[in-house]
Amino acid sequence: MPELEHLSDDLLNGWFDGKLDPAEEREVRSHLEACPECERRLEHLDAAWQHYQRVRPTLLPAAPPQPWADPASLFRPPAAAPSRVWTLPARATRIFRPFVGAAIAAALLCGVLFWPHRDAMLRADTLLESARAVRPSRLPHAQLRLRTPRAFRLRPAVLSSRTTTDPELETLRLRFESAGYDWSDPLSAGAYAEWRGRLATKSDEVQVQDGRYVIHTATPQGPLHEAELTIDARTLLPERARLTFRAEDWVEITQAPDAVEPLAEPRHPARTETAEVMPQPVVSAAEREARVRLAIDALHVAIGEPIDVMVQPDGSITVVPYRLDPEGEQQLRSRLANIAGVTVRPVDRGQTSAGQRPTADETLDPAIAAANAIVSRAQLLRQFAERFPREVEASLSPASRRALHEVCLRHAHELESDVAALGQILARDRQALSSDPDSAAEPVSVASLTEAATAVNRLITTLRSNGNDANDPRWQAASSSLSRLRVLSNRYARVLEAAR
Amino acid sequence: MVPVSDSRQSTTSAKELVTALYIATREGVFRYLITLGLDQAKAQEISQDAFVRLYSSLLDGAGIDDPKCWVYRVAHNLALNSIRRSVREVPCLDTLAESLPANSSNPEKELLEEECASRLQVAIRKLSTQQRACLELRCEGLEYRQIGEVLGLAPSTVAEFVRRGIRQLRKWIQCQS
Repeated sequence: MPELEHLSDDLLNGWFDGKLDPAEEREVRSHLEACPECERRLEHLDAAWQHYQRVRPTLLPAAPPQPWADPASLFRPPAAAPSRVWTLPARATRIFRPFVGAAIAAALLCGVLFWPHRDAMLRADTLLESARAVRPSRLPHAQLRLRTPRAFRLRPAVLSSRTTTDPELETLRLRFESAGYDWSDPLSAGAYAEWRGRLATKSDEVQVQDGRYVIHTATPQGPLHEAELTIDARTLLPERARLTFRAEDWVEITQAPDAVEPLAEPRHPARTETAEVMPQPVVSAAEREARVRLAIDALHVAIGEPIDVMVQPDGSITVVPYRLDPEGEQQLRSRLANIAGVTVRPVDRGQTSAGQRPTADETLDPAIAAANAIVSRAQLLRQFAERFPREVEASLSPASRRALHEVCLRHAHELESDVAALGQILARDRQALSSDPDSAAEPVSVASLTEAATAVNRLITTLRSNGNDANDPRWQAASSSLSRLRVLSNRYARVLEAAR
Repeated sequence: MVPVSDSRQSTTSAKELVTALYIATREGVFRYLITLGLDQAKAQEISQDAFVRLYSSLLDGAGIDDPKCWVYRVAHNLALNSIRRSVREVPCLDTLAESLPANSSNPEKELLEEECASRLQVAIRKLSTQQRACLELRCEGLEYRQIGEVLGLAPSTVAEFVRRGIRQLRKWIQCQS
């Protein structure tokens, strides 16, 4: 009688969730009636889940600190854009500047009669003056990230020299200077205030968003027709500036999050062993994501090292290294510094498992370690395949396509090696002796590869954790699963080689 | 990515949709953000902000096929941004239990509950942040596909993380018994 194939984790989880179609439900139900092992797995899952759900409410607050906002007040149609505000001529503003306190008081008294949008103008003035007083300029070692529709550049936050050898930066400098916006220290309240102060006609809008003040100024005057400055409400430090020139050309300025050595020109990364990185700025989210994943792979961290790559709704990319040590994190930042729209989120190692070693029972057993590496590598291959399907891959640059393929091929070869190594460990312990697989005709895909790897991981982990009894009949299933995985991993590598 | 269609929403229908979702889901979003490590005030602020953004997006004409998933995803991203910018220590699930007032008048039961919570914290601490996020979203009733959309993971990866997370908790339960 053939060995009963156990339920995959996907099916078991689907049953657990009640999300199977009728045919799958019947299959699972009939299997559970005949398979005590899967029945036990389900019971354990269910028991653990029920326990956790019972205890969880005791660990979380029952209600938020304030009453929830009324939906009627939250979900209102947006207000119309503010109309233009009549402002004092620039010359008069300069004359009255020393008496700003009295001017503001007078404006408050008169504002109801003459300036219906007095709040926006006065708040912009007050905010900018306060921000300038807090910190007139950035620290000299700080770096700025400048992003335009065409390019992305890093430069020092405060420049001592006006000129630069970078054509893109030089173009920006000329635009800034023609608009009367300070190029030497552009992400500053002073630069914004000085430009705004010279405008004879302008309209202001000040909003508070997520603990920030956002000052928006529009003007028909000069080549710069709109600017926006975001200031942290607590520190009054500018965080972001966005300048929109005529013809809808724009530049966004933010502070680079990490301490990279100052650059006046774009960096040209050295060739890596798997990728030739192009110096031109990237434009598509898929291309940027590909380069991010290639850069992470080039770190050669341990397989299964949790580093998340999250593409946000606005196309920016957040990279979260959960357990990298500080040196590894710095290397990661350096590799990602030249990719536009990428943020490395620092991890508070006190609140995560960063730096913690896996538990002893997961590391001392080499078979379990090998099985974990196998499933992690298979999942990585699946992730590459799912994130870069054929149509997305076709949109990538030739260099990125080539590099991605080489990376996947390398991992496919290493998966073959991992599987062989696991077989040797088990054979040495006289466990999971090889059997003739009946999966020779099974079509190979990342899905079947991942499923096979998951099955092996589950069985090996269970068997080696629960007494390591060589007489356990489940070793037969482990043998079969391992053989199936060996066949699939070999075939997958051959497919990738053929596509080279 | 969350699938987006081009259907347009009238102001009234968008308001009705978002209001209903807000009432049904806001506390789940709030709890999830707490488990990410936000303090309660910030978690509530971001929860509400996520719904406001959903409403704005619907009015802008970006019809969203799965609004619940969209809200969790936006709230998750806003929370990560907030955590990244925050310079203050914030309580997380690990320490929150210690700050919650005891609600039992039975000292022995209280002691057992504290010990139970303490062991759960130990088990939870061994989970990676992704595993825990998957578990917490699962607790809030999201399907694996939806969890994958929120966290940017393949559903199979979510299933694996949930399985590993529950296995970790199962060890805790075995220790309990």
